[in-house]
Amino acid sequence: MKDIYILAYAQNPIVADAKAANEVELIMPVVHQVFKQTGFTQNDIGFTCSGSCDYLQGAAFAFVEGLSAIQTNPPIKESHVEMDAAWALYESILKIQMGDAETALIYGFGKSSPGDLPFVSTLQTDPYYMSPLWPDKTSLAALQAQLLMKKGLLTKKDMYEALTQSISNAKNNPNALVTAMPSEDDYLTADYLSSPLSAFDCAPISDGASAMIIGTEEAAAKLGLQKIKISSVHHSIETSNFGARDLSTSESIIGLGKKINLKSFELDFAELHTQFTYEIPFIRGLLDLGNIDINLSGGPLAGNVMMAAGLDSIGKSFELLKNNDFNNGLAHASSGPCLQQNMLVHLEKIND
Amino acid sequence: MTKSADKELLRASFKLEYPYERSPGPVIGKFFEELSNEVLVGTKNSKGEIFVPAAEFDPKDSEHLSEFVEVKNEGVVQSYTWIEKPRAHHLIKESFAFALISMDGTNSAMLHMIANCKEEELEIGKRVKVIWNQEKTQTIRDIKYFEIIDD
Repeated sequence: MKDIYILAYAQNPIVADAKAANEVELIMPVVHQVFKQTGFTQNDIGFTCSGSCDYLQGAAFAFVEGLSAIQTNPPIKESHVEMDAAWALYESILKIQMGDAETALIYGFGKSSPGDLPFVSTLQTDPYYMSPLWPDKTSLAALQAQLLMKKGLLTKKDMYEALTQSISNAKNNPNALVTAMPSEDDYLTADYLSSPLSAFDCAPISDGASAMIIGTEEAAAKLGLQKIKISSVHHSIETSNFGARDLSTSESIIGLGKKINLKSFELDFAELHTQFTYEIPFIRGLLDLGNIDINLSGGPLAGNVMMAAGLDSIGKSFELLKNNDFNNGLAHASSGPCLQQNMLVHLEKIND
Repeated sequence: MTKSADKELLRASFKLEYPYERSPGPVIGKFFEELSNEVLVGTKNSKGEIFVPAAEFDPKDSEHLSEFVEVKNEGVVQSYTWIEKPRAHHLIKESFAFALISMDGTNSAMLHMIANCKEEELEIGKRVKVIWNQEKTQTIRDIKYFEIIDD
């Protein structure tokens, strides 16, 4: 296996409504930033992969338009995942491991503001047994939160603490959307959208884009930058039979924790793709993270660009390692209702 | 952000839908056909576990499932979420709950709705029964919703 390093990462300022700015205009600034960080041009990129959701734009193959943000002439090796860009990163890693490329450009983008996101997400659920009933994303998450609360594994206080910690950490991220701290009283008395979740428990509707460049040891050495290595990456998915899952735990997350040997290194922090407050204490417990700092960037509760937020967990972990006296970071990405699919990434600072 | 971010956004109406029909296949098709007869069926694996709604394969070991069994139209709430104020696409316009309901004698749960009750009456373990839709479409909506069974 080749060693693969993150060479650059950039995130647009996350906004609640990008108005008339289209997806190409959201992608271009971050692609230019990662080229600037590395000195690369598109000609130095061996493989390009993006992550987005056609349902957000409301048309099949809508992602193709995103390619207008990069140079595609002469022709490039390119792919797309109808998933969070964390999985575009995964595909790029495979491509490099297979020897098809030395470097890869990854970008993820999402403009959720034009639609009703919790219901747009419904269309990604099972089309026979689920989506005809219109279960919105918040209600599906609420079924899991309720179960955890009734089983005594979660309290509203845990959820409030996860929220305040995230908002407080958001000051570390100049691109964060939410920085206003709700009072405990406001939080506890807020009307539930779907019990036990109120609007405070849900990540904000966000527009934006992020980009990343990764490369082999050779590519990293040429740049002479601080080396941040992707030491381990694994993903797994639980059954699409929603009613057959045990929502009080997560086989996927527990299994991934073992696969990346979470206990074999001293973890400094974790960046989790948590779109609801309850998911932070839930995953902390599942991975036995103890008092490890979670979402020092503020995480998705401070700004959640659909299809980029998982890549952002990895990108923010890269920045945290680069800019601080940290050696090991854990990044998480997720997809599907109630954390159905998950990815864990162990990032490591390599001191030469 | 680019200059166009400051411009007024042009708007056009758009209906979010699947502009095509799906074939449910022999297993899900049979489940829907029986729903239109007001009968609930599930599929059974070789260990004797029953899945309702009917599953085409075992979610644990991928065993192909083709044996159908009829189950009672009553079950138990495994989890629920109360929606005080229904939103845009919700099918029930008064307060209701989404719930995971395990039909009696089965080993999985079905996502559906519970109506005509108060939030305080709902709890995990509560017994509920199917209320059928008068108009049948051979879809999951042939079950209109569930209601709590009075003790």
